[in-house]
Amino acid sequence: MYNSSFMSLYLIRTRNISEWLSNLTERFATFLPQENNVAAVSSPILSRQSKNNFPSPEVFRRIRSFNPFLKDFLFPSQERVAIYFQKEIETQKPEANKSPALVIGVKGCDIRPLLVYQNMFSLKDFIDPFFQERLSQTIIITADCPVPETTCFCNLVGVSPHGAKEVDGNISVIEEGLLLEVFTEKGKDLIKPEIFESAQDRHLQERKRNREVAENMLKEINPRPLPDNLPKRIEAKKEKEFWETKKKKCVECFGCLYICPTCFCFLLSDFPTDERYERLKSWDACYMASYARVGGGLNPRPLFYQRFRNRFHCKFMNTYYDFNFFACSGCGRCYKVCAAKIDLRDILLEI
Amino acid sequence: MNNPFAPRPARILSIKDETPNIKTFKIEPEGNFSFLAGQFASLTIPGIGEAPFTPSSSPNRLPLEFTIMKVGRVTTTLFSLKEGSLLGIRGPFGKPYPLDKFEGKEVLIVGGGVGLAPLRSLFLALTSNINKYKKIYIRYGARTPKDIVYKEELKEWSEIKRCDILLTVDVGDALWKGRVGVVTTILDKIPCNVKNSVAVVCGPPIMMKFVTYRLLEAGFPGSAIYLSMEKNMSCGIGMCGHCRVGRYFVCRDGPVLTWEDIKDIEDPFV
Repeated sequence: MYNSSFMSLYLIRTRNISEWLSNLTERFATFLPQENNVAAVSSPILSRQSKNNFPSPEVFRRIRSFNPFLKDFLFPSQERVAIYFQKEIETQKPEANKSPALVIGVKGCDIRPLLVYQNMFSLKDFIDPFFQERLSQTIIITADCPVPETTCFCNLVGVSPHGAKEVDGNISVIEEGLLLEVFTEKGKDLIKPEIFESAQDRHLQERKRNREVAENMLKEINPRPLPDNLPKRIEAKKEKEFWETKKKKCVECFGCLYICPTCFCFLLSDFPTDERYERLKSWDACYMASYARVGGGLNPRPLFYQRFRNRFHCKFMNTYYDFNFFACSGCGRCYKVCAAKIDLRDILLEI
Repeated sequence: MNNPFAPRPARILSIKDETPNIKTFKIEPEGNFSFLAGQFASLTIPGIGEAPFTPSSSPNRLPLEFTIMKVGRVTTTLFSLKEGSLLGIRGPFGKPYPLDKFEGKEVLIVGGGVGLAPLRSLFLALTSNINKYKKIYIRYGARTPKDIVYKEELKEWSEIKRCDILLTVDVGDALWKGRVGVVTTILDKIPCNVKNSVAVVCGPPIMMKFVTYRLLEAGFPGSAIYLSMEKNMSCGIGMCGHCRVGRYFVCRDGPVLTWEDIKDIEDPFV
């Protein structure tokens, strides 16, 4: 998706932003972060934008949305993936004619999970056609993250707070409006020439300053880097006592794994309906006791501390060996949702 | 685009009782289905669920044969079906045995219980090209004489030139005149030259563990010990995470992995 000879930087002035967003909602099913009044949830909710009541551009300066939008959108919590053995034998096909979607305002930490999905669902021998179809119909524009919060730790896992290059474009909020950097044809196609102008050097400088502020804040929030050679250290950390202590407060609500955008595990289940059978694909979590249990009853991880440890094995060791990055975006949603406030950072820094 | 989650129809042609809890199902998929020894298929019991099975029949031939033990929900329902019932099938999945690496070598096949089923497919693939391999050994153990699978065929196979077969049971019965002892006891004497051999093992986890230790002790290099990993599976196509062992997905990188691949994983057998 990223073409280095294509980079273009444009400015849209604050007074024109509503017109632009309005035009976009005519062309696409558009999804934007929305401020919300729910006290327990302090970050925006990313949802479908109606034809009016656009959020203030300030919302793009906030941290990642509370909901893992790209996970819900590209890899739904439950979907039907096959209908079989009905009278005219026909299997489920992906819906080809859905209107294209545009999402603006996901953050750098929302794109690491996208790389996980692409690697798991579409790069090896088999391709998930439902995911592939949805992704090909979605235009993604990230937004800089100028004010990280204490739950953020993207800087520890190799994720940038300045959006991502693997998408169609990135916006930054500056004094005069929004700076839009486009990476692909689809990104360029969003521009309405009458209300966009070429970015000037002073705009880029402002963006650079804002980015430095974000980086410094992250260094303050997370001063200690993760241990060197973390995958090997996790592999070597076999002491039962260590993991028993770490999992002690956990009540096994599975909130962390369901909200985690990099969790990709799912379960296929079949059931009969009328004269045919349906196969559903639903989110699953490796914390569950039956996750790895085989038909005869044997279980490689019968005790909870083993399943708790498996989360670290998967995200910080096995995926790293497989794809060379951690299956963790540092978004902090797991901590936000955890009833026991278990913080991955505390555990990782002790390994 | 091809939908890898959707099963194709496959009909049960015949069912044969092998032991009190093991049956062989002859299954004809709709359309072509070709596999290489070591690959597996996911069988759907319509509306109930799916489970992975390695065919026991010779590769590249239809109908498919699956020798299956009744252990849980899906297999119990399968056992209640009759000839003519409709199943679903997906596959073939997984990586086959690297038969080119076995050429010119002695092949030591070690099976336990129903583990002989996938090994039968391998054995048939090898014997169809027997001149490529120096010698083929089968060392097979079952719990009791009633639990031996392919009783008649094992006799026929021992007549094949270049094949050497030994059986044992954990516990004999009044009529059993053969060896008694767990399968590791018939590996006390390794029949082949470990410097130019490969070993292929399939059976219950505890058997695979101790057979592996015995083979390593006898001098087999870890990279020459091929193990059929058994894991809970859902998608069968390397996406859902369930069958992961270490960095490997048994459905995508296996189901056959070498000891070299898994030796650093804590408790790799279930």
